[in-house]
Amino acid sequence: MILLKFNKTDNFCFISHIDTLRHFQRIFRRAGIDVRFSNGFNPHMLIYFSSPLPLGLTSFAEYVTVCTDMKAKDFLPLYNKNCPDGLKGIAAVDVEENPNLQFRVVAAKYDFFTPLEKKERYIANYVKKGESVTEDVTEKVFEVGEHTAILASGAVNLRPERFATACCGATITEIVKTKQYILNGDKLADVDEFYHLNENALS
Amino acid sequence: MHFVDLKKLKEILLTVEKPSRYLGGEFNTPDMTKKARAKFCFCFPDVYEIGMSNLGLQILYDIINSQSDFIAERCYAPWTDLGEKLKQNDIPLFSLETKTALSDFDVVGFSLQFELLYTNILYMLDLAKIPFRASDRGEEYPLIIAGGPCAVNPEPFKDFFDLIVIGEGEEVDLEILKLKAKAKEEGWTKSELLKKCAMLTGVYCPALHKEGEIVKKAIVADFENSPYPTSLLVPNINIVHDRAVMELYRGCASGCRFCQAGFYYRPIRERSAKRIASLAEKIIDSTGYEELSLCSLSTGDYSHLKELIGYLKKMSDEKHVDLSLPSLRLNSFEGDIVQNSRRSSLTFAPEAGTQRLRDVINKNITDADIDNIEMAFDAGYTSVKLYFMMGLPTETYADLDGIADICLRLKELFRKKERSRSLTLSVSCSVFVPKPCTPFQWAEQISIEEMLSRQRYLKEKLRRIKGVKFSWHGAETSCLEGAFARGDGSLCSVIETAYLKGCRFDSWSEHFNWEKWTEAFAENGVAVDKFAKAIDLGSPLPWDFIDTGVPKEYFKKEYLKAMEQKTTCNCREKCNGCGASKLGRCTIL
Repeated sequence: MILLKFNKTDNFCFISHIDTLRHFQRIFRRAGIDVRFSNGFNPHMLIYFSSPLPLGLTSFAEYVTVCTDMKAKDFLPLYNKNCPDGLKGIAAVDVEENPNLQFRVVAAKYDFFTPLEKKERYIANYVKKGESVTEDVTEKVFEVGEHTAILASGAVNLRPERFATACCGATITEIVKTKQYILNGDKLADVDEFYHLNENALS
Repeated sequence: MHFVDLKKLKEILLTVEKPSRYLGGEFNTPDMTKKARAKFCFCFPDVYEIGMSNLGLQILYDIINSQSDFIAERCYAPWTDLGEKLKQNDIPLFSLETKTALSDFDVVGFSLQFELLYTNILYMLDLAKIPFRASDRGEEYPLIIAGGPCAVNPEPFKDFFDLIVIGEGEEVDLEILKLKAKAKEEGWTKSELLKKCAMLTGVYCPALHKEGEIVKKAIVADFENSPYPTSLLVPNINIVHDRAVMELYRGCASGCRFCQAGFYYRPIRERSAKRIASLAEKIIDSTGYEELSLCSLSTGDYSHLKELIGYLKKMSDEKHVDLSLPSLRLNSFEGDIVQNSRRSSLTFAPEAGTQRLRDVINKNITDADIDNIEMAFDAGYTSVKLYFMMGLPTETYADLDGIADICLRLKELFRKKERSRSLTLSVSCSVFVPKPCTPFQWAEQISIEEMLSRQRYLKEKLRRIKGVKFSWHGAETSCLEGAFARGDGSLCSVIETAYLKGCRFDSWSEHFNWEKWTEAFAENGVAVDKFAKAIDLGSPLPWDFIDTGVPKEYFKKEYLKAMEQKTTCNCREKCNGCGASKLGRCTIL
């Protein structure tokens, strides 16, 4: 089993999760990477993604777990030869079992193109299903820097463009996801560090 | 050069449906950075999902891009949400690959697949800020050209184009682009360039055309070795035909008298099974598609089908690729059995309800063939889609009854054995539209009132049969399709008026506006049903100057045979002497 870290950039930030999934299946076929299939009536490739991105958001830290016997060091170059530019692989490691990131990730770090204003409380104003919503999102904000913020991601989630309405006004195309975190004890742990992805990244 | 401001574009795209329609970046996109002598932009006057499914465009795109010194890009009609925003923000319509404005290309070529897309030509030119009429465009504009099956009668849209390619564009498009490059390098005027282009086989230049001149259709003579794209573009979003496509042959041996493609793409040219199999494998390897579909007008009639299936079955097992064989005729059902997917639905097109009417239209399917569907039921199929046409020449209500009888017959066959599931029948009935360059080019198209009354009749008949779903085509759109199919140059103004009134995406029911169309016809003094009437066999036709290889005399003979309910055999049984082989070798001869 392999944990792959990849980008979702350029045009691909406009591509939905379901279309991304189809892309991955085709990349693996092109690359001749033998991915295991489910045994059901409609067999599908066994691949597991971290949480879907909202449309328009660019990310340098997406993850997918791939059920294959291939080793990460062989996998990454083959993957990169066969993927579209917007889905380039950054790092890959061999893992014993599915890290289940979709359910374990609790926070993510974002870069904002416009400076962030530090506040006591963050009040977001956004439109949801045609209705204006005002929400105090302070509880979902972990850390705010000059241009970066760590926000809740996963089951408890704060969309960065909604956070931006509270303190900087950046639109979704002016935000980039850069890191995802899981809990290690009661501390946030960068997925890359936890799974030694940095040591296995492409230079 | 006008490149679109990407940042601004991205902001706009966030507010429209399916933004990735407009961004390009598909896997297998050719090198767009090489130095090009001239650039071509293929325009498809419908949305991305439909345009990207068109094999012809992928073939032509690949031919130009495989040249070391030419580049081709693409542009699809933006949906109305983006169309409005482009106008508001003063952004000219741009290509997917490099976001270059259409007006900065050397040649802009429209692919015309369907009559109801004609207003979208003007919609795209309008968004590109290019004047509609060729006569209003000076030296600074690209050559605006058209091609595709609709070019068989180019008169209704001739005023909009500098050149129209009649027939197959594989060789012609590149020749036009080469001439345009030379024109730039040597400083020719536009009229010098047009003169040189008009000398190419298959090129019709409306501005230079003289009364009585014949334009001969262009064809690919060596189909076996003609270029075929093995690095198909892999779309970023789900498109209509999201799979690898392999073309087996061109032309058709069936000779159905209503079918334009069946005559227009003659002579029949088949590829060898070996070459098809090797191309197919390359496509699967380069795209990663999980499904391969074999495409031609009547795939089940391909001479080497067994041999081919043998090769493909091996590949499909090794690479987990599903095979799908569309448009199988009833009498070639055998081929369907080899499909390895768990499909439960069969599609058949008897086209008419009675043997008598099937003889008239020369759809050589017998009642016994229909009975063969029982084999499919035995193989586990529980759903059948049936395609029919109404309003065919000589049709009576007895023929409509025949459609219901076929449904009843299938139900009876299904009930002969105990089966675990019930049968679903989907009956789809379109309206017959007489098309140029077919034996029925002189036939009458029934009036809108008649269409509606026959549809009501059939709906009532089928309503009484349990398990039958009935769908039909719009009467008004069929009437419009008929007008554009057989219309003349007077329709150019009608199209322009209709577009200015707001007509576009006419093939999309949510945008079709019949009222505006009737106004547009009236304002230009053209009766809507002018082109729906039966035409005298001796009268001149607007497309008489187009030579498709099959002479008018042959169509006349076939038309008269139809009226006598006499069939013509499949060309594979014996050559019927249609004359198309004078353009190139008919490989089944």
